[in-house]
Amino acid sequence: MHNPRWLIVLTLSAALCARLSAQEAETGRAALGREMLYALQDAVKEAKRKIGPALVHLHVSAAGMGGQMVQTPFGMARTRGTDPNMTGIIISKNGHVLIPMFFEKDKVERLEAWLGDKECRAKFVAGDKQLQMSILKLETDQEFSPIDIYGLGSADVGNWVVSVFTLGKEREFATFTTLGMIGGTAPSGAEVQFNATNINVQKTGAPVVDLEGRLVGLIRNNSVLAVESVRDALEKFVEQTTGEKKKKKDDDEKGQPFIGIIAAAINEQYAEAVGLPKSGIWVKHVLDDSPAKEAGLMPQDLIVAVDGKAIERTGGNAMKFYTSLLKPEIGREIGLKILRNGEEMEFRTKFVKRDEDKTYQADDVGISVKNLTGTDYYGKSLFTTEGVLVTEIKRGSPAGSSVRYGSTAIMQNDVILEFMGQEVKTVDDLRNAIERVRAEKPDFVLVKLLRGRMTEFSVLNMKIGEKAGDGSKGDSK
Amino acid sequence: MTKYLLPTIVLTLWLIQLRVNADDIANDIFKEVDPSVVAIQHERAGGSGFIVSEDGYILTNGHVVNGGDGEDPTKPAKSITVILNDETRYKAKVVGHSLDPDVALIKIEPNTKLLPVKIGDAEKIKIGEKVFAVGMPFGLKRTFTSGIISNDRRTDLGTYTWVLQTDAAINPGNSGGPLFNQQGEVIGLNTYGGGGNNLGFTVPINVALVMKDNYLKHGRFRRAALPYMQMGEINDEMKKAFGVDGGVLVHYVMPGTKAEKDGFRLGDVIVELNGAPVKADNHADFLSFRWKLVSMPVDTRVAFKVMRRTNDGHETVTIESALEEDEPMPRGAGRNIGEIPETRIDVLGIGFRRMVRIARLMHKLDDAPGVWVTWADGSLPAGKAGLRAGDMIVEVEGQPVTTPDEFEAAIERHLTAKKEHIVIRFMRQKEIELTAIKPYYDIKDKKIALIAPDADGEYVKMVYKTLFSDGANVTIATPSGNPVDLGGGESLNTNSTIETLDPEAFDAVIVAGGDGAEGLWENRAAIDFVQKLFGKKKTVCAYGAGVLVLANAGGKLLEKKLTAPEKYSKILGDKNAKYTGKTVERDEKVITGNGFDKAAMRSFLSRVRLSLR
Repeated sequence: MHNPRWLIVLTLSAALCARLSAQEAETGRAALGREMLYALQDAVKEAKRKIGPALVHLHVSAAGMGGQMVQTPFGMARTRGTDPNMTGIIISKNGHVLIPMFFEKDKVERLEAWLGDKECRAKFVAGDKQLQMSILKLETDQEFSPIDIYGLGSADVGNWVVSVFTLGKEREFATFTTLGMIGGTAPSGAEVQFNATNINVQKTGAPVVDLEGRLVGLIRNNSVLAVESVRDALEKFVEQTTGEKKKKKDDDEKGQPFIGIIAAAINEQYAEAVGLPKSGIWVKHVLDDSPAKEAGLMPQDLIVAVDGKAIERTGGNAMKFYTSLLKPEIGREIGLKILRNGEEMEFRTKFVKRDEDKTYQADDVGISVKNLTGTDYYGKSLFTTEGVLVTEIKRGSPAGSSVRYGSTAIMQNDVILEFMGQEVKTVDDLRNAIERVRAEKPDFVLVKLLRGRMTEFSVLNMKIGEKAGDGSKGDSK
Repeated sequence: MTKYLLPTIVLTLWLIQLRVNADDIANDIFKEVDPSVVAIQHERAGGSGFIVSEDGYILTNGHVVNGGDGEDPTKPAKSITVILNDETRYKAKVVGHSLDPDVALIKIEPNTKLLPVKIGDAEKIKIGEKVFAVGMPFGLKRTFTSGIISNDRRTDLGTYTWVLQTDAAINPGNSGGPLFNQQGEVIGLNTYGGGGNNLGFTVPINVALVMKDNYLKHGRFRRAALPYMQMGEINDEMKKAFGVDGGVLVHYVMPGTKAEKDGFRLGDVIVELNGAPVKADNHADFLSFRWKLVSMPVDTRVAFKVMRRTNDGHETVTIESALEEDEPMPRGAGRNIGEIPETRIDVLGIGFRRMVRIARLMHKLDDAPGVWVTWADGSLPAGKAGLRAGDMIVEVEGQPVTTPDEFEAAIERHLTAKKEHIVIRFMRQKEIELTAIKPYYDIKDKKIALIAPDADGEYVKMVYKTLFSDGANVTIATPSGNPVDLGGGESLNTNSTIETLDPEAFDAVIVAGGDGAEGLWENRAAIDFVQKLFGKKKTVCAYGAGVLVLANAGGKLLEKKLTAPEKYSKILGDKNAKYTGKTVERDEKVITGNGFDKAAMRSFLSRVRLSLR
C-alpha cells in the first residue's frame, strides 16, 4: 500500500541527509583552509620572531643625502633626497649592523640608532661602493643575536617571503611585518633583483626572509636585491669589516668537487642541422688530469643523460637541469650517457677533491691573485697557461692607481708574467718577488702583464697608498 | 711734476696705439684670409674648408665630406658643392679623405685663379698665443672668432695624432675651417667642437699636409707601419724601472709578424730612428714619434737602435726594417676611425668585414684565418643562430672561409640550393663554436623579373641578392641581354632580354634605377611587360629613375601613388602621376622607392618582400 505521507517523510529525510553531508564536507574544507592559514600565520610569526631581535632602526644623515645637482636633458636638477630613516640588520654578536646604502666615512654627519625604543651609540665602520652597502657598529656591551648572512635562502618565484621594517620615533619605533610572494626575478648587472607582492620597496634596509627565517633579499635603492647574487662580495665585505670569518667546513670537505668537464647546452639549430637531439649538453673541453678525461670523455661528446635521467630540456634550462642532476659532491660517482659520432656510450666517473685554487693577497701592492687553472684558461679565454691571474685590485693601492682614463696599473683578469724582473709562473713565484720588493723597498716596480692577447709593461709606484709612518705593510692569507 | 708729464702722455698714446693695433691685426687677418675660406655642402650636411692651391684644391675635415654610410665609412658624400666667398658655386670631387686624422682633400675646377691660404707651423705654436677661426657655423654666414691656444698638445681624446685646443668659438659648421695665427697663417683644421663651452679642437696643419700629399699620390693615406707591435712612451717612473734614459717602449710584438721576424722583442726600448735620437717622455711625444714613422713613405728602409735587457744590464741592437702599408683601421680602434667596409646579407641579418690584427686583439681571437662578424640582428636568422658582433667565422658547411668574398660566395651557394640549414663554425674569443643558420626563405619560389639597364644602373646587385637570398627565383633582363655592367670591371649575369620575358611566368617585376635607367623610359618591351603584369594584378615595383617606366606605362597605373627621386617630380607631375615624394610608397601592389641610398633601398626591398609573402 502506498502511503503518500511516508513518501513525503522519506523524501524530506533524504534531502536533509544530503544537505547535512554537504555541510559537513564544506566545514571540512574550510577547516583545512583555516589550518593552512594558521600554519602560514605561524610561519610568518616565527620568521618575524627570528629576525625581529636583529633589527635596528637607524637615522643616518650624510652629505649629499639631501639630493644632488645632476645634469638632465632639460638642464640641471636636484635629485630627490634620500630618507634618512632606515632599517639595519645586526650581523655579528659584537653588534655590527649592515645597511644597504653606501656612505663614505667622512661624509656621515649624524648617526642615530635604536634597538627597539632604546637609543644606543653607533659608529660608522666602512662602506663598499660596489655593493652599495655600509657597516656600522653598535657600541653597547650587550650580546646581540645576529642574522646569519652565510645561510641564505634563494629567491625562487612562488616562494613566500616576509619583510620586516622598523619605524622611527614619531611612530614609536613600531615594527611592521608583511607577507608576500616572489613574483619574478631579473638580473641587474651582475646582481639579481626580485619583486614580491606586498613588499614595500621604500623601506630601505628591511630584510626579506623566507618562512624559515633565512635571509633572501634586502631592500636597497627602491628595489629588492637577491642577497644570494652578491654572496661572495658580501661575505668578503663582512669578513674584512667585522674580522669574523665564515665558519670553515671540516678539512675533509675542503676543496671543490671536480670532474673536469667544460660544457654548455648544445646549439639547437646546429643540433637540428646535423640530426642530434636538441636537448643535450655539449662537451667543449675535457681538462687534463681530470676524472672525466680518465673516464674517456672527449670534446664534442653530447651528454644526453646523467645517472639514467634524460636531459629533456633545451638552452639554459638544460644546463640548469644538468647541474641539478650532477649534484657535485666529493666522492660521488655518476653515470653519463653520451652520443659520439651517432653512437650511444656510457661512462662512469667520480667527483674528486680539487685543492682550492692557491691564492695570495698582497695588500701593500693592492692585488689578489690565484694560480691559473684549466677552468680559468678556457673560461676567461686566456692566452697563457703560466702566470698568475689577478682576481682583485685594491683601489688607491700601487696596483689600483690610474694610469690612463679607465685603466689602472694592474687590472682584474690580467695575468702577471713578471714582477720586478722575476719571472712569475705561480703564486709562490709572485710571493717571493713581492717579498724581495718588501726587503729592497724600491720606489718603482716594473710588472709585465698579459692583458687579453697583449703583453704590457706597467710600473707600480710603491709610494702610492703608503701613509706617512705606516709600518704595517703586510699580506694576508 | 712736469718732468713726468711727457713720458706719461707718450706711454698713454702708445697703449692706445697698441690697442688699435690689436684690433687692426684681427681686422687685417680677416680681410686677408676671408677669400680663402669656403663653405661646403652636400646631401647630408656640410661644413667649411680652405683653399690650398690656385687651381682649386681645398682642405677640410674628413667627417665634413664623409658619406655617413654605416657600412662603408670610406665612402664620401655623393654630391658636394663648394661655395666661395663671392657666392660662386662649384661641384667638388673628393681626392681623398680619412676620419682620423680628420682630413680631406677636395678639388674644384674654378674659372679663375683662387687665393690659397698661407701655411704656418703647428709645432711651433704655444699655449696662450692668439688665434682666429673662420667658418660657417650653423649655415652659410661667415663667422670670425678669436681666442687663444688653450692646449698645444691634447692627447686624451683618443685621436690618432695630438691636436690643438682653442677657446675660439667652434660650432657645428666650423668643421674643416682654418685656425690662423697672428701672422694670418693656417696652423690647423678646426674639427671638434667639444661638449663643453669654449672647447674647440684643431688638427695640426702639419698632419693635414702629409695627408694631402698622400691623397694626391695614392688617393688615400698610406700609413706606413712595421706590423705588428704596440709601443708607448717611457715616462720618468718607467725610466727608473727600466734603467734607461728614455726612448720608446715596445709593449707587445705579435708572434709571427714582420716586427718579430725583423728582430723586435717585447721590452725593447727604441732609442734611435735612422741615427736620430728617439725620446718620448709623455704621450704627446710618443704620438709625434709614431706620426713621424707612419707618415714615411711605404717601403722606406729604416734603422732602429734598441736597448735590450740582459741579465746584467742592457745590450744595444740595431734592427733594419722596410716599412709596410698598415692594415686598415677598424671602428673602435680610435676616436672616429673606421676604414673597413662591411658586407651585408640583409635577409640573414649579418654584416661582416675583413679580419685585421687589431680586431683580433680587440676580441681576443687567435691567428686562425676567418671573417669578422660586425653586425648580427637578433631577430634574423644569423642572430637567431647565436652569432654576434665580434665573432669570427672560420667555416661554412665544412669549407674554410678566409675573406668576406669567400664567405659571401659560400653562403650564396647554399642559399641558391635553398638549404634548410647552413652549418657555421666560428670562434668566440678562443672558443670554437658550431651553429647553423636557418634562412627564412620568406618568398620561396616567387618568380621575379628584374629589369635593369645594360650599364649605369644602381643597386641592381643589392636587389638581386636580397631577393634571391630570401628564396625567390630572380630573372635579370636587360635591353641587350648582355651581363649588367656594375662598373669597376664587375658585372652580373643576365638571364634574358626584356623582349623575351614571358608575362605569364612571373609574380612580380622590378624596374631598376640609376642614371642608366633613364634609357629604359621609352623601352617598349619594358613598358609592355609592366602593363601586362599590372593588368594581371601582380606586384609591380620600381626605384630611382626606373619609376618613370611605370609612369610611362600609364593607364590605371597612374592612379596609383608613386615616389621617385625629387629631380623627376616635375616630369611625373606633367604626366599627372600621383607623386608623393616619400622614401618608399606602397599603393596596393605598386611599390616605388626613391632609391636614394642603401637605407632607402632596404626599406623599399622589405616592402617588396612583404607584398610577395
